[in-house]
Amino acid sequence: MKSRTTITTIISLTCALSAQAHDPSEHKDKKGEKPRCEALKDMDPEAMDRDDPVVQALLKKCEKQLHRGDELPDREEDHDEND
Amino acid sequence: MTRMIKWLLAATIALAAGLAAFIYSGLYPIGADAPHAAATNWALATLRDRSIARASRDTPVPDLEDPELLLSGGPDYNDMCAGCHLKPGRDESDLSIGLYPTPPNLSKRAGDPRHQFWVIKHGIKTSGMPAWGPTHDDERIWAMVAFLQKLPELTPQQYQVLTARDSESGDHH
Ligand code: HEC
Repeated sequence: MKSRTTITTIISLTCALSAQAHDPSEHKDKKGEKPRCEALKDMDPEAMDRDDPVVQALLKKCEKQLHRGDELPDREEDHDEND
Repeated sequence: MTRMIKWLLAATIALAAGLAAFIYSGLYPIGADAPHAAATNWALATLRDRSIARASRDTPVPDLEDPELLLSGGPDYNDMCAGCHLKPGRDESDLSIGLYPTPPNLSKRAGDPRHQFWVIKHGIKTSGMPAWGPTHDDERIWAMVAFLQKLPELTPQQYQVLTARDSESGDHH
């Protein structure tokens, strides 16, 4: 059992380290990646349930980009025209 | 009667000695690419499930239907967990293929939040699942649990939006 624990630890560490070294396409935009809110514009506004926490979280994250500041009045609107 | 006890004792000692000899011999196939026998699998899976169920049964579950929890748990999941546990639109990774036991695809089905909290906090021995409790407080772990509860219903686009860490870069225009 001891040796299995050691082996598992080694495997896990190797995996954790190689996960960083190994998959540069995933890694490069990990930090500071912008949410791609354009993709959500296809969502049917009628079909969105405003009580659903997922919808609320998406709106909150995208309020700047989607000009939906009015949904959540506690943040100031930001007219970002670059999309 | 005493004869029988002597026999039983001798048999037990022989068995223990045999087991010790087997362990010491190096004959056991330790490779992650050599699957367990069905009986071993059953024993290990049952041991794991019963232990988690017992240890987590009295854990009070906070309100997980809070968008703020999704917004903090999502990026943590993407950074720390998706390499093993995958995400919408990604069904395989080197780690999901290579690890044994195989990390479950958490974007396919949501489990019991109590069990998930306990497993994330304490990890699982002799598997690739680390304990995140020593380095993350309960609040952060519950946020990941809240995210896991919604993960199976997210599209790849929704996943990208919820997990993007844009806080540092959001205001630089
Ligand atoms: C190095 C790979 C790896 C990483 C990274 C990892 N896990 Fe795991 N995890 C596993 C493996 C392997 C199992 C299955 C262990 C077993 O069945 O004995 C597991 C099991 C679990 C389970 C139990 C699932 C079930 O329904 O049985 C949960 C929940 C979980 N992990 C959540 C997480 C979260 C959240 C993170 C990030 C904070 C994470 N894991 C990071 C490998 C990993």
